[in-house]
Amino acid sequence: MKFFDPRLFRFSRSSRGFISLSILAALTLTFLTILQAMTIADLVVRAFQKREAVETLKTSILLLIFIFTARALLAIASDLINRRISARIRAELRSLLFTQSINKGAEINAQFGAGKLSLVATRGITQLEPYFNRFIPQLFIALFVPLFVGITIVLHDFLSGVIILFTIPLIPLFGILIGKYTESAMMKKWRTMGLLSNFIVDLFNGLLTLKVFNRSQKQEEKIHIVGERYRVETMKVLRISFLSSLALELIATLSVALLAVSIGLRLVNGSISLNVGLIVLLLAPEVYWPIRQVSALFHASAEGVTAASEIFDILDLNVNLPQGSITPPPNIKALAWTDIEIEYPNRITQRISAHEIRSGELTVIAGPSGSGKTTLINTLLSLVTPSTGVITLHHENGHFNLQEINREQWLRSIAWVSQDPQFPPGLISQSLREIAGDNKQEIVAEALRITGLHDSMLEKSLTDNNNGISLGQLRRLAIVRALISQRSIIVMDEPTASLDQESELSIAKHLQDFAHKGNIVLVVSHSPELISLADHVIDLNKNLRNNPNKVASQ
Amino acid sequence: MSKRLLLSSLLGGLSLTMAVGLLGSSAWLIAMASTQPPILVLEVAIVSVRFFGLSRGVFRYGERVMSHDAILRNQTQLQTHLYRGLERAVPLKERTGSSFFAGIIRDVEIIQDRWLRIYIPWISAAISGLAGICAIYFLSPRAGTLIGTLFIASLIGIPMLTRRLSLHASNVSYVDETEIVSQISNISRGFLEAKIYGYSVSLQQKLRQTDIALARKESILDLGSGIGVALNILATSGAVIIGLTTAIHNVSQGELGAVNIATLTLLPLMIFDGISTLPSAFTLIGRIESAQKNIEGLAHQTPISLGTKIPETFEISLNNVRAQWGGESLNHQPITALIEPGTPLLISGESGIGKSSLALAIIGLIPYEGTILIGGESNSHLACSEFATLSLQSDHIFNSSIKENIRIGNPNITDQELESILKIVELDHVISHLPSGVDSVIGTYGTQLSGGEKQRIRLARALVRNTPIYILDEPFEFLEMDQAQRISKKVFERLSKNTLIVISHDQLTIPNVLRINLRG
Repeated sequence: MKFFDPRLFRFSRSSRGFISLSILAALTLTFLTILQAMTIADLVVRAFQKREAVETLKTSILLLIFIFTARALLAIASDLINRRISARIRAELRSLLFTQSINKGAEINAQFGAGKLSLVATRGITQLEPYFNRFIPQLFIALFVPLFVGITIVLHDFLSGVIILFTIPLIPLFGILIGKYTESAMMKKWRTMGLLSNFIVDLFNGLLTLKVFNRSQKQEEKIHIVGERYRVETMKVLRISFLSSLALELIATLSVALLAVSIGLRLVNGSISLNVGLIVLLLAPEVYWPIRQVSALFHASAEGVTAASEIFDILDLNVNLPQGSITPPPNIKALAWTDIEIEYPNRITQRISAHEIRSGELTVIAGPSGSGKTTLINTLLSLVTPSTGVITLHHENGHFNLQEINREQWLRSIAWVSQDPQFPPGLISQSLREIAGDNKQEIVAEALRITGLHDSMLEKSLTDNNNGISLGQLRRLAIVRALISQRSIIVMDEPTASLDQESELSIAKHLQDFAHKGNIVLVVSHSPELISLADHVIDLNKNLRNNPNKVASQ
Repeated sequence: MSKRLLLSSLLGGLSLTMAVGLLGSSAWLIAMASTQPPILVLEVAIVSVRFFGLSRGVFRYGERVMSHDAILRNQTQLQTHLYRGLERAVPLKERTGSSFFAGIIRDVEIIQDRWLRIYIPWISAAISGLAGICAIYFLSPRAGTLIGTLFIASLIGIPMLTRRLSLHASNVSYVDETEIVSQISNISRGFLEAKIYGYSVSLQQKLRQTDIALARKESILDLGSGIGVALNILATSGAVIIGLTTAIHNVSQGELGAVNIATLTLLPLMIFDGISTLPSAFTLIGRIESAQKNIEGLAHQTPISLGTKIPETFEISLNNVRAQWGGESLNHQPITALIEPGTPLLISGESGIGKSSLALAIIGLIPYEGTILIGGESNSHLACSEFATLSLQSDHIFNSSIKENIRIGNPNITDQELESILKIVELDHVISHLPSGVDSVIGTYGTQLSGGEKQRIRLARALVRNTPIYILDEPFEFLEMDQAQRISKKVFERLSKNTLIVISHDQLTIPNVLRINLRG
């Protein structure tokens, strides 16, 4: 486990100003700590050895009050600074993750699994916070305080300085040794813990299914057993980390005890003054404490660094899809592909045989599940690049390879309906207006009629879990959105699944009309209505066989 | 509340007390040494410096191990408790997506901070502070009383003030966090549509705004904790000065040995040290309370009472039935039908009209109006899930192997049975191409299956149960027509002697079937 991921440097840029303030705060704290020790020592010596009265000590007492007040103000300021740093970095990382998911969402889901992104962007970033607002500031304190306090001690009492100089490297040395010794065990345990906690979330997610299958009560015991295993595994990790901080604490304590006894003995034979002895006694723990504190925060930092490396794995995922710069031509006559092959990790290589889809025709793609329908759509949307084969766009004056086309613009020229449609949160009328434009109310009304939705749908608002709107209604809305976008290429994945026959027929007829007006309409479907109206049916099952010998290695 | 937690609070208190002792005894040691006494006088102090130093770390270790262990135990207990409560209450009216349950798990973790970061540190601070004050009182009753009063005021007042300053911000930040979680899950599912329909920029701006709003509220939070820390520093300075001046006064009155001036001045530094971590911990209270409220709301869902009887015969009679959610009947015509073994019923109708709710009502999982009799007995007296299988479109695919997913239907299934079912749903080919065959892990962290493949796993899971009654909700969804025809033929053949209800918008060929179209 590492203390620091160098990739984190990239993100410190935006908060460099605040980080300098944090350093300044650490320096001021060092100065105040030294001054406080000297003032207290001075007061005690004057009261004890010189028997001065409270009145003559007044100036020093006022100085002490001043130091404490400054420390109090510094505490407020540094808390605010540290929070600013972490808020900035958090917003910046989230925004980067967002951009990355918009651009490479498909690859991220394929490589890390669906759900990974939202886990990293929420929990991962939360775990990173203590790293930034506690560990990093502590690191600065650990750099400055021991250095300057150490110098102050050397200036007052050379021998104590020598003892500190010899004992202080023991802490990082033992820290590294313990870290090395426990690293692989810790990593393994972290992984087990992750699996166990996923298991529990998975059981909760499947609760209704388990209940319907009369298995939910048996799983109750399993939650308990897995929870217990989670505890045992976690405690193994924590015990290691608590033991290492105990070891470091003992080294620090023994060093301070060594100092205290040496000072005591030298005081007895009068070779140093009480003032120096008290200053060293008060300051010595300050040398060891920040370094120990860094090790104590190691737990938080290890979690943070793990989270950071997951975030960077996603941010650095660089599937450089070849992409062109040509604007898609306006009148595309046909989309054609040669035999293509697409490789997926952990999956059989998909093979899709050559076909052509033309404008003016309603094309339906059929084929059993797993025959590559979704893969074909992803390829046509230029989200996946085939390992072999080419997709060609034919237009009035020639043709382009799809790879020469600018992907952003290509996507913006296609109306797409997915199986699991998503909408931006907010009023439905609002998000439809943004697509259709303000003056196109008739188009929206028409599309609602075609899909069999009531006008009142527009007044509803979409939230995270789309309360009150069924999956069927969402699918209809997705069709509405595609229709009103007025794009000349429509691609739909099972648009009519789970709709009633009346709507299915109405939608199918409209798609046919739209195609016959010279547009490209490509629908993946097994609906008999759609297939009977289609001008062109591509049956992926007939023309394609998955090659059983070609299984991508894990 | 458990013994372990109290014991770890005690250990934490002892550890801090040792720190107080360490500073007090070394201050005395050095002050005493400066009077150049015989070495023997110092022996006791030297030994106690070492003792306090070593035992502080050991007690701290004990406290940390014990408290984390207890917290994890509590967490498991709470999870089990919640699972039990929810198990009785599902299906819930609200759609319970994956972010919903992830939220529950997060809340369970947040609640644990109540002991770990608030109660234990507070009790530890109280124990060590009082121990230190007793020592001061022993040396100087006047200083003990004054510093004691200041300490108790800080111990109670500072956390209360911090809590007050930050409670609102803390609640609101919890709401913002929930909002961010939902925005992010929207993005991770809808990235492609956001790009195609051009709303990704507005989504990104919205996320940024929420993040900025969250940061602003959090800075109020930190102001609360900063003020708390600052007040504690001021209280410490007050105590140090009280210690010093009272000691000087006591010495001048001849009530105290001058050597104790150092001890009385330095001890307050450590006594107030325990309070220094409390302000930032108390800013968490709002968060913890919000989480607690969520969890309590969930644990107190009204459970659905299920019967225990098993009928002799398995015909289903529906009389004017409409399913209900939250006391309200669904908005379709009531349904009346008699379904006997060998005569299946096909229910069709518009999406969202309540077909799946009807299925849940038939097996007694949600309330309904009208009567539902199975074998002449009201289904509320029956243990329906023992003799009826409901396969839902939304059935969860677990993050384990294909075999384990199917075995949920029937844990005692033999390999031959499994193989024959896989043939029926035509998964045998798919599986033979997977790296580990039927033991391949699927789900969120495993191989991604297509919609049709998942649907066929659900179907296989239902078929292995061999119950007299079957209710299949859109069983052939996402399957291509030819395949749906082939599989449905085999499925209906297998279930030809069972009581069967099929919910589908497709025109399925089922021998001997009754048809009902559900209308609004």
